Order: sequence, then C-alpha cells, then structure tokens
Amino acid sequence: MKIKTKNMIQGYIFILPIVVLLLALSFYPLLRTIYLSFQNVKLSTMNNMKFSGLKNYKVLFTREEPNFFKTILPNTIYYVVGSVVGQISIGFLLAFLVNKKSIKLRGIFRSITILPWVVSGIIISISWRFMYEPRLGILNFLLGKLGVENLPTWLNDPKLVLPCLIVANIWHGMPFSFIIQTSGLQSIDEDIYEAAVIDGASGWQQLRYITLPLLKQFLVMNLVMTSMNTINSFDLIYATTKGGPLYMSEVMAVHMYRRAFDFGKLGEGAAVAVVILILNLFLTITYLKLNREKVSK
Amino acid sequence: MISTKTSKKISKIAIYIVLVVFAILTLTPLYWLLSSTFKTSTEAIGYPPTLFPKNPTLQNFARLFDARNFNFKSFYHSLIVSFGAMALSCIVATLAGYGLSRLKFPGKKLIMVGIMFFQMVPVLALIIPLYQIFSTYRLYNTHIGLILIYATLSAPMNTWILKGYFDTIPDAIEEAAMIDGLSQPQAFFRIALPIAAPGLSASAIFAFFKAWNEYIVAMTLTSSMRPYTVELYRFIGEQGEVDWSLLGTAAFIAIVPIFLLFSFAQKYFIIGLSGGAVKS
Repeated sequence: MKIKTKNMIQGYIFILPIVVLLLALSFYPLLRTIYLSFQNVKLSTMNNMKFSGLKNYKVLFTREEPNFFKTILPNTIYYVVGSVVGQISIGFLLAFLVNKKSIKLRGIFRSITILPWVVSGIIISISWRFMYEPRLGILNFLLGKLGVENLPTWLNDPKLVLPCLIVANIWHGMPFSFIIQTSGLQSIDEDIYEAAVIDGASGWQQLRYITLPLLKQFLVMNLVMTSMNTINSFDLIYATTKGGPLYMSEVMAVHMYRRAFDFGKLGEGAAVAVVILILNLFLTITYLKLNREKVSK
Repeated sequence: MISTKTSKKISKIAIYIVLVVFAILTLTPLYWLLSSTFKTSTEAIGYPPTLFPKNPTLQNFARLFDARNFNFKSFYHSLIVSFGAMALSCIVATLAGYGLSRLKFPGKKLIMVGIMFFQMVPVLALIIPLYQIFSTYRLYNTHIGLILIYATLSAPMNTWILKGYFDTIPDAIEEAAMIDGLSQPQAFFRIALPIAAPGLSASAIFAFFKAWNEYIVAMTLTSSMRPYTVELYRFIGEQGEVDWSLLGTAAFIAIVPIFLLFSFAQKYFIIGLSGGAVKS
C-alpha cells in the first residue's frame, strides 16, 4: 500500500511539468481563442473587451472583399488538395523507387529528398521568390532560353500565384510523406513478394495487390497529418505573398493572421481561428483513433 | 520481343533518371539562393543570371555583419532561444516519458490522451490569446517567453519518443540495480537514461530544430529581440530592390548548421520529423 502511494505521488511529480506547460500555454489559450471570438476586441485597445455575440462570425461569413465562400474557402481547398495530392503521390513514388534494393546510392538519394524538410519556412519562401522572380529568376531565364516570349510573372499573376505556392509547398512538405511511406514499405515482409514472384505476379500486380493494400494505414495516417499541416501552414504564403495579389492566395490561416494583426481586429481573427480549430478537431479525432494502440499500451 | 533482362535494364535506367531529375529539382531552389552568397551584389541582381558565381567572393559575410538594415544579433537571439527550448523540452519530456512508461497512477490514460491532443493543436490558433497573455505577464519580447512556447510545442512529441525508449527497458534491470544498492535516481541516471540516449538525442535535435526554424510565434511575440527568421522576413519586406546576395548569405548562415547536423545525425532527425510515426 505504501509503495503504491509513493509510486502514485512520484507519477504525478514526473508528469507535472508537461501538464503545467500544456495547461498554461495550450489549454488556456485554446479556451481563450473561443472566448475572444465572441468579443469585440482590437489590437490597439486589447484589454478593452465587449461581448458582441456572433458578430465576428457574421462579419467573417458576409464580408465582401475577400468573401469567405467565394475566395477564402476555395483558395484553402485548392491549396490543401493540391499540396496533399502532390506530396503523397510524389513522396510515395520516390519512396517506392529508393526502396528498391538494386538501386545504388540509395542513402544519398534519400538524404537529398529529405533535405527541404529541415529548412525553415521563411527560407523556403525566400528561395522560391528568387526562383519565381520575373527578371532575375531562374525559371524565366530558362523559359527565355527556350524562346518563350510572353514570360509569366508567376507570383504577381493572380491566376498563377496559388499553383506557384502549391509547387513550393509540395517541395517543402513532400519529404514528410517520403519518410512515412518509406517506413511503410520497410514494414512489408520481403517473403510476400518472393511468394508472389513464384506465383507469376508482375511488378504492377505486386504493387496493386500487395504493396498498396499493406500500406493502407500508412497512407491514411499520411493523409490526415499532411492535411493538418497544410491547413495550418502559414509561413510560406504569408512570407511570400501575404495572401495577394487580389486575395488570390489568401487561405484561412493567412486570413486569420491578417485580420488579427495586420488589421488589428483580434476578435475577428479569433473567429477564423475557431473555424480552423474545428477543421483540426475532425482530423485530430481521426488521428487519435489511428493511434489508439499507442495510448492503450 | 525484348528479353526480360533488357527490359529489366531499361526499367532500372528509367528509375535512375526519375531519381536524378527529382534530386536536381530538390536542390535547385536552395542552390539558386545559396549560390548568391558567393556572388557580388551586382552579379546577383544582374541580367542574365549566372548559374555559377563568376568571381567567387566572401565579401558578403563581412557586408552582412556590417549591414545597417540587417541585425546580425538576430542569430544570437535564435541560438539562445533554441538551446533554451531544447534544454527545457528535453527535461520536461524525459520526466513525462519516464513517468508514463514506468509508474502507475490514476488518470494516466487521460493525461496521455491529453498530451496527444495538444500535440495536434496548431499554434496558429493560439497566437492571438498568447499575444495578450505575453503582454500582460511581461513575457513579450523576452527570450524566456519564446523558450517556454517552443518547449511546449516540442515536448509532447518528445515525450512519445522517450516513452518509447523507456518502454524497451525491462523493469527487472533497474530493480536489480536497486537491489545492488543504487538509489532510484541513481538507477535512473546510470541505467535508464543511457539506454534512452538515442531517444534523448532525437528529442534534443527535434526541439532545437523546431525552435530554430519557427517564425509565426517569433514574429508575433518579439519586437527588438527578433530571431533571425523574423529578421529575414523584415529584411526582404523593407526593401524595394532586394539585395539577393545579402539575403542569400543570411540564409546560408542559418541553413549550414542545420545541414551539418542533418548529415551527421540523419537517423535522429527522421525519428523526430516523422511525427513519431517512424521509430528507429
């Protein structure tokens, strides 16, 4: 009995620091974000709050420029779907190819592929701005050499800006999918393939009937986490275009920050944050379900 | 009719082509920026752009150090904050990971679900109240403020990494050591911690790297004590004509330590970066 109590108290002491940190800097701010979304509060007069009911949400959903349903939401969906599809498919392809035992220099290919993942969002933004730069950038230089006459202005073109950012984001985020899919592929027992070869299965059949089904949980996990990362990604777009031109790259995360800190409407920003949180909640629940065994151990 | 041997050879060549193309695509944006480090400023903004520096120079490092519009001290702020966050995150996560792995207490499961839940809450959604809280409690524009937040961001993940390592150590080993006369803290430091050392390395790297690269919190919660990420953003935003060679040099200084760390400790990087989905 005595040992049990001692063990219990020790347990709480070990856990205390992380619980305090999370309560003070995650849980409390989380509740406060929700609270602020119902207040009229400005950046300049921060401690002067007034309950305003659903007004912040009404403003968010009815604003003309940029309109939530015509601009922000489609931008966000476009950005997330484009990034997620690109990252997972390229990540899988490269993981699949690099995983082949007959390929030489696998270690080097693997390191190069992962490299962009360790670079700060701000530096990615800078290096892609330099790539896309209409006059000095390498893209227009190469296009010019190929004889293209009307060189695109890339990030300054409202139609091209989001695809440009998606490419940059795929470049940055793909290594994550590559790592997840590599570990998935390595979890598959080699013997299964050997048996399939003896039974006469072609490479394509092996991929379709063995690899993909066995990778299913890795693909789902990848999908959930990459979607979350992309919905919450802010650095790249904000530092590159700040949501412009003409709001054509303003996604939810950027919209939230701009309302709160560039326009000083903290309450309105908080309302956008709550919408982002709800999206995250759905994905988090899925993530927790996928991770159930980790907790039950 | 192509023999299987030839078709195998062709597919192998095709694989190499795909891999090399992607490797080039991956390296180009970074190469393009970083190569401007060694160009003179006129070459970096001249037309046509040069793929390789014509007269490689190191003068940009000196220029950056003296630059009026770039605060070189921002690297120092980043270093302090990143090492601080690394230390705090590792201490907190080691305690929590050990406690969750070794000890039984009521509410343990709830705490585990809680840690996992808050690991998934994006800091973006907390930044508005954090700004208020930091202003109220005078944490705004301080090293300790950023250290606290960055440690909170990486601690949950590190707890899982370390718990995973502690889980692999059988209770019996520590018990045997304690029978041999070691106290519990001694048993922890001499037996459990060395076995969990790879996990601790991964946690330290993850925490440092998270803090070193962070941008949104730093931008919102600092004014004069800007880490280099915010300084870079400000630098590129302030000028009409961007001085690409200076910018490339600043980026070079920020990236090189991380690349070196990455090349020596790739395994540990991957454990942290994969969000715990991959164990070594």
